[in-house]
Amino acid sequence: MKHRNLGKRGLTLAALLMMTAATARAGSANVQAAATIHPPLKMQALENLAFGTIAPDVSGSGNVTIDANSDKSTTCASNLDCMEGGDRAKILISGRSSQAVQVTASESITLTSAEGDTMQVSGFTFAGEGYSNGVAYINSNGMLELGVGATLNVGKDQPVGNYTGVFRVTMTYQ
Amino acid sequence: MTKTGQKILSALIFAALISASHSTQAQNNKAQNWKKSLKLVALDQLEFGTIAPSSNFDGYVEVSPNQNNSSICSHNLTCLYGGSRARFRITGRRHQGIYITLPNQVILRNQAGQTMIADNFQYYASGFGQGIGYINGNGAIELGVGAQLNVQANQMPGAYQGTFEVTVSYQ
Repeated sequence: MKHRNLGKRGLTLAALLMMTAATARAGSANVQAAATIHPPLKMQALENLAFGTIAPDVSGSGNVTIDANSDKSTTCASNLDCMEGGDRAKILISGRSSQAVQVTASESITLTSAEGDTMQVSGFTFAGEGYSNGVAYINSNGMLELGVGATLNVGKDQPVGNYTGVFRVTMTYQ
Repeated sequence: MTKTGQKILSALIFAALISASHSTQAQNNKAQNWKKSLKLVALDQLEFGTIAPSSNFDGYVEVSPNQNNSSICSHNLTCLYGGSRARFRITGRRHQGIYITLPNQVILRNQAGQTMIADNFQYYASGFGQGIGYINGNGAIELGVGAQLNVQANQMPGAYQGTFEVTVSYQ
């Protein structure tokens, strides 16, 4: 009788040892994967940049500068005659509210007439609520409106024509 | 008690006696090493970072398994704050070969129920090959896990989360 009980215990011990060995052979852990998605930045051109109608100087070049801060604000070199129509561009940006956005524009572009004559535009500037040194903040409604200005270089006795060109504005979340 | 039972019992007792008669420190260590369970503890979660999706194109974020704070963002996405790998500590028998199993894919959800899929899970541990490696002489090893997050055009904003399981087993 004693032997029989001992035998059962021995078998139970052997089984326990086998179970212990089996449970020790593998381990696992659960961990979280996480990501945060912001709304995509979107931009819409509201108004084009216009340098207006200009009468050039036959004896020298001059600049026309459009102010990014206010509508229809043009600074004309003294040797040019800026007659009408100069105005800043306006762009509307939408994205995550209260988020800082870095804004850049083309360094310079070329305006070309139908006849192939050209003028250079450079010195693009931005203005808007909270804008400073290339960085602006989207407002609490998720919107940001910026004005864009630049400087047009009008050549000596610049040929007559309607000059156009395209500039690029790029923005990224900061 | 059956004859088979008697034999098993005798063998166990005999083994115990032999073990007791060789009680050197080295053998105790060896026995402890043999008994050591394989354990996996999560140290850091897998973080894909903060991402601004494209309005027009799908994109992806790849988090490297072999260094912290290392992620690559496809050109049509903006990765704002960096992603970083998950980290685990594996403890077990020294010099023992182990297998590592990662998920094929994991679904991340935001509070509104929108989803993204993470796949291409990869791991890195010093001295490990693909799918198999060895625990070092200290009985512990650190495991890094990276993956690719697939972000759709106009992916809805929100904080996305999902859970994945990593399994290790002795060879």
